Amino acid sequence: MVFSSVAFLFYFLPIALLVYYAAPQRWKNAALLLISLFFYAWGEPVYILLLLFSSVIDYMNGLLMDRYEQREKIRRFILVFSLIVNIGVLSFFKYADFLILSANDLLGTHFAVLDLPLPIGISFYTFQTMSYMIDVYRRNVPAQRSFINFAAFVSMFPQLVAGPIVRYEDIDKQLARRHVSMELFASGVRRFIIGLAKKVLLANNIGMLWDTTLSGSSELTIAGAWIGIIAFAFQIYFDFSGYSDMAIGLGRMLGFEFPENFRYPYISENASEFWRRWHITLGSWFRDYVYFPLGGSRVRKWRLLVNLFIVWFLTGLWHGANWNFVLWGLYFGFLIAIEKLWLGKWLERIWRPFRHLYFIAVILIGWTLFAIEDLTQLPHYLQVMLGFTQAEWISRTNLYYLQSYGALLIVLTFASTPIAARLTSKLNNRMNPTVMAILEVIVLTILLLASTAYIIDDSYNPFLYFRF
Amino acid sequence: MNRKRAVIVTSGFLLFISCFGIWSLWEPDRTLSEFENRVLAKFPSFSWDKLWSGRYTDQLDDYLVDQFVGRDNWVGLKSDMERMSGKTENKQVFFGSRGYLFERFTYDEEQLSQNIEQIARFAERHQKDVDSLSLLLVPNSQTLNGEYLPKYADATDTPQSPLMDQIFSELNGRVAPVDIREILQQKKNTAQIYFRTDHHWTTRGAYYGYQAFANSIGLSPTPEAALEAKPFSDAFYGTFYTKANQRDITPDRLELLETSLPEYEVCIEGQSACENSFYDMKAQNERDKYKVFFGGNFPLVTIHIPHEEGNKDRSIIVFKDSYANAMVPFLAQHYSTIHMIDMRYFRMNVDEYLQEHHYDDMLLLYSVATIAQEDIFKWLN
Repeated sequence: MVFSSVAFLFYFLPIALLVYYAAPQRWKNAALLLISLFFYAWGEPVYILLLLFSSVIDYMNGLLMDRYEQREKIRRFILVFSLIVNIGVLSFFKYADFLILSANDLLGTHFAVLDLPLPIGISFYTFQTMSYMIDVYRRNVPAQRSFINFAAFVSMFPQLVAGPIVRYEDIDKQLARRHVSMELFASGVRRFIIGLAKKVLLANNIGMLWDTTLSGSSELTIAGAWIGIIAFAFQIYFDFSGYSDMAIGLGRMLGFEFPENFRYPYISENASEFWRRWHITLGSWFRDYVYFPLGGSRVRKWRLLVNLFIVWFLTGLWHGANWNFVLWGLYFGFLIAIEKLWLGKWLERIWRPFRHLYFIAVILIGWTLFAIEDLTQLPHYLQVMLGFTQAEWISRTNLYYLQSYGALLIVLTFASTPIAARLTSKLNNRMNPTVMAILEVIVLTILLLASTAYIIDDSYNPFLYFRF
Repeated sequence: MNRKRAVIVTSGFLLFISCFGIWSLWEPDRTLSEFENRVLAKFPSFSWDKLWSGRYTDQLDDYLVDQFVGRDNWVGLKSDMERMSGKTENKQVFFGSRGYLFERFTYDEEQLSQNIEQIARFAERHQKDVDSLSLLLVPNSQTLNGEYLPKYADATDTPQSPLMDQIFSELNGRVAPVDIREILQQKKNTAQIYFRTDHHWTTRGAYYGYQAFANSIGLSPTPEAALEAKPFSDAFYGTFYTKANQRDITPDRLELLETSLPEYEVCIEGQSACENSFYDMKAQNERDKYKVFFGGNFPLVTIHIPHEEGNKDRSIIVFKDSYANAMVPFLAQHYSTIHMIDMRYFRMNVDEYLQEHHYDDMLLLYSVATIAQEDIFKWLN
């Protein structure tokens, strides 16, 4: 089920909240588990077994690790076993066909592909269960004794399909006890509505511009290529951060506090900063569970490069079983490496607007690697974008789309910066609280009504994370 | 204060999401939406098989969206917001000036060349059976009224004029082309050739098409002055209207242009009784008022006009799409037998049918869009 649907918003959510709040305190997690399984089964009736399988395995691994508290070797063995199972399941369902096709291409073999549909959210929940095993192994948290609590953590519906990746240690205490207040619930509602509007009003609309650019790329112009990839950059950001906002909002409605996933990534000045602001829970997952264990930055230069290569190869691959995602990951690895080695120091000395210009150019070129999965199409697009072909500068078609999407592009640019948030908090401090309350209700109502209209007439409502 | 504010936000949201859901279930289901001109999803039938494959929940999703309370208003609201954001189209329909709507035109080159080839094969076989074999192509509204398109919109719309040239030139020698572009261009300043809210030509436009055809095969067309204009409806909301989902659009006027004829018979294949009029007045109560012509499209319609003068004892067969419906009544002045065949529904063997009947003239009357898009011409062969 996706959040931006009638089924979720007007049927699942009210019933889920009713069941959850009607359940007595000690049954709340059980209620949450049931609700979440229903949520998952709505879109993936069969793969629910896989989700339960992952939960059972790691629940038992956790208990075993607890039992052999004093036996370091056994604990290590359990960890390795769990990681093999998790990575094995993920590889089989997500990467098997990719490996087969790559082998066929490279070695000239003719293995048949399995053609399995990718279980939705598998990349998110396997990363969550792995974080649990590693956290327990590191003795950061005790093993979870209740299967219901553990399965509720793995399957929790707000973040099940598109993150944020909630680590077990972040949520361990909240699973046992959480306090819901009217204020927390209301802040969840606010966050949810804002996220919904980001997804439905902003991301879906600008996504159509990217789609038209991609489908008509034979007559691509220089301006068209840039407008198209700018549209994609906005689409993926508002779609993804909208989902995270909705997840965080829903979490609060249930009494959970999930970690933030985005902090205005497009105001960054360089690639390293971007990854501290973009999909933060994934970046920190790889940092804490891969990069630091490898030695991080406190190693010799060649080793640092190897570490960066590993982390960014994996980060790229996580986003989808295709070479373009690997390329995209390595591209950021490369940028972060040169920024660490020398570029960063140089950038610090130049005028700030130039730093933003560097970042914008770098991120947009990056998005072409991400957005164009067909590697035969990619070079052409990049060549047009960078002016290496005889393509026209601009066409009447581009002008038509600029006229149609101009207002939206301005709104998107504005919404990518913290200006609105700063303005709101300033007004909150200065204005009469009653006026602010009325203003807030009006804005939220407009956003909710407008989003509903777009959901009802959903000619275009893509789910971008089916590859994650 | 903060607590009060939280109570308002929370209760407002909960009321919104629960009331609309319950209300939607409460309201009786609608089978179709007049506003969007489509059938709405029904409550899906259950089977375990469907559930496991995920199809059941997909259908349930569709059902809940389609039967949402006040659906038409939500759809209209979205369309309004699209226009406010600066968009000049909704669902492939452009909002032009002077109240003109236009549909974006795209086509598949392969389908077009396949269709041309099928028509060529058919024409080669039957050219000799008739005195004349003509092809009349009706371009879309923006070919004539392109200046009313929104700014720059033409750049995203495939022009039909070059396609007409291509079709005529590739069928050269096999069919006699009836090119109506010139006459429509001459008349467009004095008459409304196309509806503003529908893809069809008006009765007046069809009359000019008929003039061009009659002249091309040596018949002298009924003069415009001899036509008797009868208003049929001032509230015609056409197909573009239903796609654009915009409520503040002025409807079209549809008029009938009648000529004097002896009492004639219009027989629709498969219906027990014949009618004595080309016009179906019941269309008055329907959304699609263009149905006034013959009551819509049928596989085969045969018309008999008992002209007194013997020299009008001629017959014609028209292979056609809906554009012909407005034009065929004008042909009744010149023929005693008219057969109309709609290849979208006609499933008899065409060659056999032509062997059984003899015709003096044969006319293929299609919109450019039909020839460029529809996969129906294979049935000719």
